Amino acid sequence: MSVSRQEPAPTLSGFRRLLNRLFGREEGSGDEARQRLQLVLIQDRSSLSAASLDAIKDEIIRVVSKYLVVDRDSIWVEVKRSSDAVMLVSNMRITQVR
Amino acid sequence: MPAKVYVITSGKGGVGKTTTTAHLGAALALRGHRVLLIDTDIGLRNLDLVMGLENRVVYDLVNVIEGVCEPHQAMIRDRMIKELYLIPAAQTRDKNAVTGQQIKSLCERLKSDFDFILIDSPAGIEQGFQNALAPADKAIVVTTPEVSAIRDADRVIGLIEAAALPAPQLILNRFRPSMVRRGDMMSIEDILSLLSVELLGVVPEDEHIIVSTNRGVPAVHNPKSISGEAYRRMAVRLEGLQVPFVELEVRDGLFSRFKKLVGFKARAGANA
Repeated sequence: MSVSRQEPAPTLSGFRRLLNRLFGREEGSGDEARQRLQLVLIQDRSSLSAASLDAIKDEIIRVVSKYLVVDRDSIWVEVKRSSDAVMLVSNMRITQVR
Repeated sequence: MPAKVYVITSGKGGVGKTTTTAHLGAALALRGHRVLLIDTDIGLRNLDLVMGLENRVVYDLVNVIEGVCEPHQAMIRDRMIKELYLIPAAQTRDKNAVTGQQIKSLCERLKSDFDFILIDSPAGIEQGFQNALAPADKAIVVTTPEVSAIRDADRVIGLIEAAALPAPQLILNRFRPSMVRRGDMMSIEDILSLLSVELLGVVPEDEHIIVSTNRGVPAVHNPKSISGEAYRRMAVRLEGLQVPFVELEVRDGLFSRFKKLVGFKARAGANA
C-alpha cells in the first residue's frame, strides 16, 4: 500500500499534545511549526527527481533479483517522512525464492 | 576599494525585501558609505515608492541596459542622505527585458564609484531572481517567522549555495518576542538552526515601519524606532564589526510590565 507523501505523521507531537492536555498545559504552536518544518526541509533538501527515483528502482530490482524473484510491476520507491525521520522506502512483491 | 555587491532576496513575496533594501541602504549611507540601490523587480517597481523617490523617476534599469541613457542619468539621489542613490526598475516591462550578465556588467562598471551596491530581488526563484543573483558577491536572505517564508528561504539558500556564492546571512523580519514568550512563535535560535545560516539581524514587528513606508522616509531616521535601530546595527555588521543585537524585550509597555509584576499572565494578543 502506498502512503501519500503529504501524510502528516504527528505521532510525537500528538503524544506531547496529549501530555500537555493531561497536565492542563496549552501547547504552543511555535514548537509544532518547528517540528513540521524540520521534516519538510529535510525532505525538500533530499528531493530526488523522478528520473533518479526510477534509476534507484531499477537498481534495487537488479540487486534483489539475484536472490529472489520479484514482481517488477509491484515495486514502488519513495521518499517518505515519518514523525522523526525522512526515509527512502521501497516495497515489492516476492513471487518466488530462488 | 570597489563596492561589495549584495543581493537581498527571500523566495516568498511580501516578507519585506524592498523595505529591507531601503532601510539597510539608508543605514549604510548614514554611516558615510557611498551606496547604490538597484531595483530588479521589473514590472513591479516599488523601491522608489518606499524611499519616497517615486516622483523623480525619469530613466530606469531597462533604459540603462538598453543604452537609452547613461547609468548616472538613471540614478536618483536620496532626498535626505547625500551618498545614497537608486536605479529604479522599469514598470512597463517584464523580467526578460534584462539578463543577469547585463546587470553584472553594469555593476562591474559602477563598482568603483560606490562602497556598497544592494540589489533588491523580485520574489520567486525564476529568471528575475537569477538576474538579481548574477552580479552579487554575497546574499542576504529575508524571512519572517512563518512556516511558508522559512521553507522558501531554505530553498533560496540552497540556490544561492548552488550558485557558488558564500553562505548567505539572514534577516529575520517582523519578529514578535511576545508571541515567542507564550510559545506561539519559533524562537530566533529555532529558525537559525533550521536554516543553518548566520544571523545578520532581527527586525521586530514595528508600527514605525508602516508609518515610514507611508511617508517614504526610512525608519533609520527615527531614533525612537527599534527596527530603525536594528537596521543601523546591521549596517555596522556589514562593515565587518561586531555589535550586540537589539534588546527586543524592552518593547513591553508600562501596563504589561505592571501586570507581570503583580503576577498576571499576559493574555494572548494583549501585548502582541
